[in-house]
Amino acid sequence: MLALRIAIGAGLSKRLPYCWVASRWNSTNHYDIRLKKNKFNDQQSELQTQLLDASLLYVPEYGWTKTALMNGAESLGWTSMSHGICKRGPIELVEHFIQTSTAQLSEELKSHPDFLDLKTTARIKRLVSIRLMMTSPYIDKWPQALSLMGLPQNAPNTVKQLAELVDEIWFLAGDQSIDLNWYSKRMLLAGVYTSTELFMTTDKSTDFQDTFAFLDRRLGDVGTIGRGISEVSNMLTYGTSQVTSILKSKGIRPPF
Amino acid sequence: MVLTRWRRVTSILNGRRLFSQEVKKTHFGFQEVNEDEKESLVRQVFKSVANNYDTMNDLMSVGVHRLWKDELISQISPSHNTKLLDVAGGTGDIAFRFMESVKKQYGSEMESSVRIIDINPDMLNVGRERQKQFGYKAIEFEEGNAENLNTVEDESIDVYTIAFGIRNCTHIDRVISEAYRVLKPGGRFTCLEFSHVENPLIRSVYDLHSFYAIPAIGGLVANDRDSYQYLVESIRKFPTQQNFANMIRDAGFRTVGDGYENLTFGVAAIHTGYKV
Repeated sequence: MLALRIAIGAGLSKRLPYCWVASRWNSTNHYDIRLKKNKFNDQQSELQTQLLDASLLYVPEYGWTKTALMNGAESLGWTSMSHGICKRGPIELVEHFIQTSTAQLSEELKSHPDFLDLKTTARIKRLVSIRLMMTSPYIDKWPQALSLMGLPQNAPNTVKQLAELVDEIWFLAGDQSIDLNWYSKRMLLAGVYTSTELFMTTDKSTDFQDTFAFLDRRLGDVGTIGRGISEVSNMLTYGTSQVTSILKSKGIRPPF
Repeated sequence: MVLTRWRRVTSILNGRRLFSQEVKKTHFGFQEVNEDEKESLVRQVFKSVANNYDTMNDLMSVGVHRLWKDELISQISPSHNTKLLDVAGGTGDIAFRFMESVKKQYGSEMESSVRIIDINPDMLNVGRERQKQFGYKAIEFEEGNAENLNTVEDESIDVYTIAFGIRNCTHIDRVISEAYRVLKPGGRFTCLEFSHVENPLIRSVYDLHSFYAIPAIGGLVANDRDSYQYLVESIRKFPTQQNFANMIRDAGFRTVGDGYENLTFGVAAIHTGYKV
């Protein structure tokens, strides 16, 4: 898996033409592979997907509620009581939305031909912006979704989906790290993304300009922190190797 | 000697029809009876238990049956214009909970309604008495057979429930096909029924309770040990959770996940199918 990730990451260099890279993305869509294997997703049957897709259209009006599910069912020609197909209720709508948005990220990139010319931070910014615009039709009702996601029975799934989202964004941005930076990058992006999305729920500016300015500031902060973290980790690695060599010179061989 | 020969002849005649095939048999608890007899035997059982039905339910299941029925209604999650058909729902437990749920959500009965169909008039009378206490108006009680719902039109019902009734029916597949016929597209078929306990430890306790405690309580409280013996045996004869879910799919319903959920380790199970 790691080797595959490196190989695909290496393919995302500036030297390769965009269409070749895009077809690579299509055939080995990282997230598609995971969508099929993900146990959480296996449980969503065709029936549920049908109902959830139809119900998302009613969310801007009715919120993330049973009423949206009932209207979705009726739009498919079914009686409103078939909302029971989604056993856990409106949280399934939220989870379905997040899942499909994450899966759509790579598709959306096709309409951004200048993506490969950007540097890493700019790529992250572009991807986060694309993802935030997917939430924008539902942004009025998004606080309700956040409260559903925060419930203790739903929180584990929420965390998992957020992890998948940041992983997908870093993958598409061309992350090739094979050390602890892999984790720190994703954790920092998770913080940036969630704070920006939360800001967006109160943003009334045209075209969410304030949100994108907020995003810029957060990414700026993170750049500083990111460098700081890698410096600390370098220092620790160096310090550890010094201690190990001293011990070895005394005849003590550490187990690591 | 003539008498014993006559007894032999009648026993042969009872078992078989002359010049035709053997009469079809089915199970009535652990006994075997003719198919056409089972319906009247079941009717007799429920006639004798009707008056004490609710009390006996509480005693036998230590009140847990109330939780099961509450769970059933919360899963169905009714809305303001749901039409429920409750089959074999004589005393009205499911119907009253349904209306209560609608009232709690919307403040009044709105346009939801329930039709209760039961084969046994005594059970229906108990239900009618309880309705007077509760005061719900949109509940109708009708006598009818689950295998042949001739008073219900095609595609006229949103939700079909049958709680603790389907194991008493002679032809379960006919009941399920009738349910399929009367449900609207997208309609929900839900069956709450006793089922099989997989865990061997719990099963041993459950068997002790079923075969020793329940008939004894039936004999003491309702003065009718045999009916409760039948009830307990009929549970053992019912198909397993997976087999029943397959029967539901065979009738044309589509299920989500396994198609069933166990309650109390499998003592009861809720099977659900959607007509989509």
